[in-house]
Amino acid sequence: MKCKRCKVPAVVALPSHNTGFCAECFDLFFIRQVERGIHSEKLFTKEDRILVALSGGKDSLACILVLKRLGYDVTGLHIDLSIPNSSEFARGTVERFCEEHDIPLIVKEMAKEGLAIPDVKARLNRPICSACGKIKRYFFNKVALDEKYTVLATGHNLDDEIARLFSNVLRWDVGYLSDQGPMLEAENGFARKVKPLFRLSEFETANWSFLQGIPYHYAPCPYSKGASFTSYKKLWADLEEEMPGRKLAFYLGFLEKGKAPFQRQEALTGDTLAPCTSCGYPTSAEVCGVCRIKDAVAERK
Amino acid sequence: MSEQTYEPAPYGVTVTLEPANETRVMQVKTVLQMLNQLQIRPTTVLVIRDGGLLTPDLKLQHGDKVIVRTVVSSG
Repeated sequence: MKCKRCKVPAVVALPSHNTGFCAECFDLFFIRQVERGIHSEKLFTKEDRILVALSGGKDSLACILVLKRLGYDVTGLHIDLSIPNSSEFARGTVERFCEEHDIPLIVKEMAKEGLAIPDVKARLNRPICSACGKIKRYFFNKVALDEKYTVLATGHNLDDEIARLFSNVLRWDVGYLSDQGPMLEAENGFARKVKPLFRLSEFETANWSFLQGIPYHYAPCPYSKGASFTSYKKLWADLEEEMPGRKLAFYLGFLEKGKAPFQRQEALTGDTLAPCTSCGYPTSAEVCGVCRIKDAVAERK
Repeated sequence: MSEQTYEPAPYGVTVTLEPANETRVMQVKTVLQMLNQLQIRPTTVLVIRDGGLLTPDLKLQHGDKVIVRTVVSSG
């Protein structure tokens, strides 16, 4: 297979674009996809202070590196979940990466917040993934607001977005469908949230990370076995192989035609948010979910 | 002087699956043939040989050492 642009041997084959690229031309393709996504959805500008959530995986590290290369003002944020035989490797990967690329980094330790994930898991009677996600989102937002960042970026890729959209469609969850997309404006105590890699598949970010020499952390979370999003990704991999390009078309079609009706319905019937009486974080209940988890963990100790 | 014994390497391509870190030796001629035998879709893994990426159409040879690394993050 030859590179579509320069005809030297290709190193990445992209059936969804019916093409292949050498390392240099794939880098150009990747950068252009990110720029196109930023500009088409007006995610942010060079004036914004961007906080990028870094898990240590390929997507988040690729996200911050590509934004830095494009000249944006970026700082990394790592949430140390205190999961044995996992968190220390993820944190080490992030710390080494940021030092190597001269990227400022903030680390927030959940053990110090009374929210070490093993303690939360021991207290909950439901799967830990949703609680862990809730805690991470809470601190992403809190640090962004406390430290005066204007944008919070995550490394969610097209496959993540498709899996989430598919899950929300299966449940016809109007609330989640109304605000799904690569950009969520700042409002009601929430920072602006963006997903600059939304046009790129997991395969594409993995190839770019490899070619950039990013030593990412790829061991799965020891608690994530059976996560439903992984099953949805497999289903979509089957569909994408039969119909290359279907993922991006489905997602862009939702943004163009599907999202607005859900936004209108949510504006009429959705929950109203008020500050949590304990921490001030916006919530539809009196006390927010993270404060309730923290109280439950403290009671057990 | 002690007599040294040599064990011949198994014939074929040595494939390491990551992150499981399982290794197997396969009699395959191309990357696509290897992935088909492993029942893996080409767009769900990186195929790495000598530190470089391989596309599915490329040929493999006896003695090659290949890493097949899944790209799907699972939490």
